[in-house]
Amino acid sequence: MRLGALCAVMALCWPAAAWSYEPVVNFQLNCMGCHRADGSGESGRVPSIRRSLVLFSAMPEGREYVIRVPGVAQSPLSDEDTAALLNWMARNLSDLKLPPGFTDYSALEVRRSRPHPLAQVSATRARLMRTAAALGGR
Amino acid sequence: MKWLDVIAENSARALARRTSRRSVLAGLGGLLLGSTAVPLLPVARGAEIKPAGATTPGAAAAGADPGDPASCEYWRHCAIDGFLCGCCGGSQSTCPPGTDMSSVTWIGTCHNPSDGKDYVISYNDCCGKSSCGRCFCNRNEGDSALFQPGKSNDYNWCSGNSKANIPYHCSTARIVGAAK
Repeated sequence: MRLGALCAVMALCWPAAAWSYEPVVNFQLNCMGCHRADGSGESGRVPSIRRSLVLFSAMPEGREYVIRVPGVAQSPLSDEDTAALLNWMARNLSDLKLPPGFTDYSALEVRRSRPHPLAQVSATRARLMRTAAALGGR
Repeated sequence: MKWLDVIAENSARALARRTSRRSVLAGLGGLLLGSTAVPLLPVARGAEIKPAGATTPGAAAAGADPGDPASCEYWRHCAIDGFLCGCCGGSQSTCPPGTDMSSVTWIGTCHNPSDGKDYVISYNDCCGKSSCGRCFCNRNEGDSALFQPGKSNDYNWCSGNSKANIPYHCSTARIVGAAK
């Protein structure tokens, strides 16, 4: 009976364990190809995340945008891994320090916003950058 | 300068007393024959066939990077689609002279048979010259359809370079790190 329970637990955990990487490896496999190793992107083609991620994370609309951009929303990662990856990026690939009240992204938050595609990515990003500047972000 | 003459004469005479003419000939002959035989010894000549810079510094030790980097079956080439830069004047981690490495690329994992671990491999294209045309490989482990651009090896990643629209030459397969 105990063995059966153990087998059941292993069967449940195995697929997730087999494909789950640390956030840094998930970044390498799913983001770094375009955003580059330091997140600085390619001027005029791939946006930098080195300032925008932390700035946007302080605004509800910005957090939605971060989850809905094509690269995040359509990545093959689970909601849990996506949230962990965003939190890792905010701490490791940002020119800006995390604000004192920084809220980590959660799997639930990712799950809520992810299914809603973002039609106007560049326009939305430009507007959010203006808002962030008006709120005092450098 | 007389003292120099004395030293030279004395040492020459001492040498002549100690050594016979035949022993000099024998030694010289042995040296000549021996030096011609050295390149025939069975040391690993295979290493010379590999492209320059075959083992990446800082990657794995020679034994941990098994296989021939000039072949499609080499472990790092598990998802490569293009010409191997090692056959085109570069290596599997550097671009041939006259080409630039694309800054954007597609990234996957390959299994290293020597240590049984998976590694993150970055397939940066080298751009700026027309197609190399040598050592074409097309292996597609983990490759996805075009609608997932970051997971597809069918794109010409040179088009995303800062020097836009320059032609594709060859592909590298660089180790980013262990996939853990």
